[in-house]
Amino acid sequence: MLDLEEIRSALDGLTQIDLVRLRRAGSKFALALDSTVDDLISDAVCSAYSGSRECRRDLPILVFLIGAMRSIAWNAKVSSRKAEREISLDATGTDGRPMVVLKSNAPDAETLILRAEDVALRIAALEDLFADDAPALLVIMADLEELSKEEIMAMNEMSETTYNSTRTRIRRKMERRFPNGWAA
Amino acid sequence: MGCVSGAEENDPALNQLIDEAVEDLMKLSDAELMAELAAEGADPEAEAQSARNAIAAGVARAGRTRLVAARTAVDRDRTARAVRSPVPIAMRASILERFANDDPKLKSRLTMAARNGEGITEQEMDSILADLRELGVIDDEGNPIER
Repeated sequence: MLDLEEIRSALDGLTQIDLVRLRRAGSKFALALDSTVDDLISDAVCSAYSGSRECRRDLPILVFLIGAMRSIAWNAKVSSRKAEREISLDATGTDGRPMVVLKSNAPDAETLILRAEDVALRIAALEDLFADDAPALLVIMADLEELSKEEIMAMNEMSETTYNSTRTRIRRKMERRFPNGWAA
Repeated sequence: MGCVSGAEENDPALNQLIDEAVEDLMKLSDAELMAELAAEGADPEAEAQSARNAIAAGVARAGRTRLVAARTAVDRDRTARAVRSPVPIAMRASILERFANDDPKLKSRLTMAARNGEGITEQEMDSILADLRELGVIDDEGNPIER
C-alpha cells in the first residue's frame, strides 16, 4: 500500500490530461449525489490521505481515485444501513442520567417519497436532454432497466459500432450539460 | 470530522448509465480526449486547475481529520493517566449504593457479591467509578453532577 509521502508524490505526478479525466469521471458519479464533482474528488483524496482507503502499489493513482469516487457514490446506502446498528450515548433520561439508545438512520416514508421524486427528477432531466436522440434515449432507458449490452443491441437492432458511438454521444452530452455533477 | 461530506443515500437506478459513461471516457487515449476538448472549445487547464484545487482541499481536510484524531488520542491518554485523589472507601460504597438503586444490573451484581460473602473488589469499584466519571455523572470527588 502507498504511504502518505507516496500518495502525495503520485498526486503531484498527475498530468493535466489525467486531471481532466479525473474531473470528467467524477462529474458523472456526482450525478447520483447531492455534492459537486469537486466535493467528490476532495472526499476521495481525503479518504486516501487519512488512511480510510488504501491505495495498492500496482494501481495508478488516477484509477484508484476514480474507484474511490465510485465507491463513495455507490456506498452511501450501505453506510446508512450500518449506522442503524450504532449505539448512541448522547441521550439522557428524565432523571438526567445517560441512556443507551439505538441510533437509527432508517428513512421514514416521507424521506423515501422525496428521494424517489429526486431520482425521478434526474431521470426526467436526462430524458429531456436526449429528447431529440431516439437511439440514445433507448439506451438510457435500457440502462435504467439494467439490461446488458447484448440485450440493448438486440432490442434496438444496433451494431456494436452504433452502440459504441451512441455511448460516446451520451457521455459527451452529459459532460456538456452536467460538467460539475447534478448539484452544481 | 470525516472525509465524506453529505449523508445522502444513493439510488441505484442511475448506476449502470454512469458506469457506462465513465467506461467510455476511460477507453479514450490521452490524444483522443485532448482532441475532444479541442472540438468542444473546452479549456483543459481550467478543468485541471479545478481538479488540483479539489485535491488540495481533500489533502487539507485529511490533515485536519488526522489532527483531530491525534488530539483526541492525547486527551484520552491524558484522562487515563490523570492522577485523581482516591475517593474514601466509605464514600465509594455509598456512591455505588445510590446508583445501584437506579440500576438493576449493578444492584444484582452487588447483592450477589454480598451473598457470596465476597464483597466487590476495590478494583471493580474504581472501574465503575471511572465509568461514571467518564459519563460525566459524578465529578472527581464522587459528587453527583446535576444536569
